Amino acid sequence: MQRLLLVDDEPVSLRFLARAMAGIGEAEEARDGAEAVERFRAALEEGRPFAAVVMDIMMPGMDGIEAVRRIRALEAGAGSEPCRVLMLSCLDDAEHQLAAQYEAGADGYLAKPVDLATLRRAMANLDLPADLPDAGE
Amino acid sequence: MNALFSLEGPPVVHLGIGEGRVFEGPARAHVLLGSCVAVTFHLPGHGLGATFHALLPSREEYLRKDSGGSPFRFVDTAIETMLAALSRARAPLDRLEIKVFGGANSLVQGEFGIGQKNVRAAFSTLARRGLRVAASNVGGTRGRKIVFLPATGEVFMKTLSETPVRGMTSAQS
Repeated sequence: MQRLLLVDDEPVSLRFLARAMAGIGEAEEARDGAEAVERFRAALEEGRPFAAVVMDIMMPGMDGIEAVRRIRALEAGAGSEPCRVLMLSCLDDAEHQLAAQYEAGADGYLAKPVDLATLRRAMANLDLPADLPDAGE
Repeated sequence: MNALFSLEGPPVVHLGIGEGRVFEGPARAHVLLGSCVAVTFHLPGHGLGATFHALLPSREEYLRKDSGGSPFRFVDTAIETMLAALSRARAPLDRLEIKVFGGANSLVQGEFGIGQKNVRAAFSTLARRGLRVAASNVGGTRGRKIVFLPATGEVFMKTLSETPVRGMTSAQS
């Protein structure tokens, strides 16, 4: 089963994300951007990279957009196939949505609040390698 | 995704560049996007939806380069035209669920940046009207094929192996 990395500083959000990922992949968690980058680096070194990352933006320490930049740099350095990155944030303005996707390299963006079905649909639209539920965004 | 392309089910409508439509009944709207942008509008609980396929960011800036007559050729006039149409359909604009798709950087055509300009135009035009974007899937170097179900607001999306050439319509995909 493919590995998924869920990144959020709110335990409630992490529980929600874990529930949403049922059947999609094996979910692991990180509580901030720095921890996410380290988890990602370790996974690359193990030869078992994450297939997808769901990333919050506003977190203590390193924010989600910076973490995605660093993840993309790690992938480029390792010559690894890019994972899919979905941003999930209460920040719904243009600057964050564009910075995440055009500058940092995220593949999609959902503004909170989102329901379970919407999140699963957004994951399906990421074109993950494994079979995912056939749903829209 | 295959069910979306079958002969069964709601009618399929291909939206080429400069086309937009309000749907008051079930449909499957297909749009093929490279640097172009599609914005989807859906009024939850009412089966009402709308979308368009725009080529360039703003009418004022690009009219001399593109004299196409449809307001849906330009992102800013496309949004304004669609909001006016939705208002005529009695949709409360502040309840619309709005999503933005497309805006790939079409490197093959030497037009790096037009995709992002299109997306910026969409966000700024919507922000001027006080409307938020609930979801976006924009940027990158690959095109997208989207199928919008206006009755539910769902968007099914596939990224393409390469960015479609400008002028190609979704009917040609």
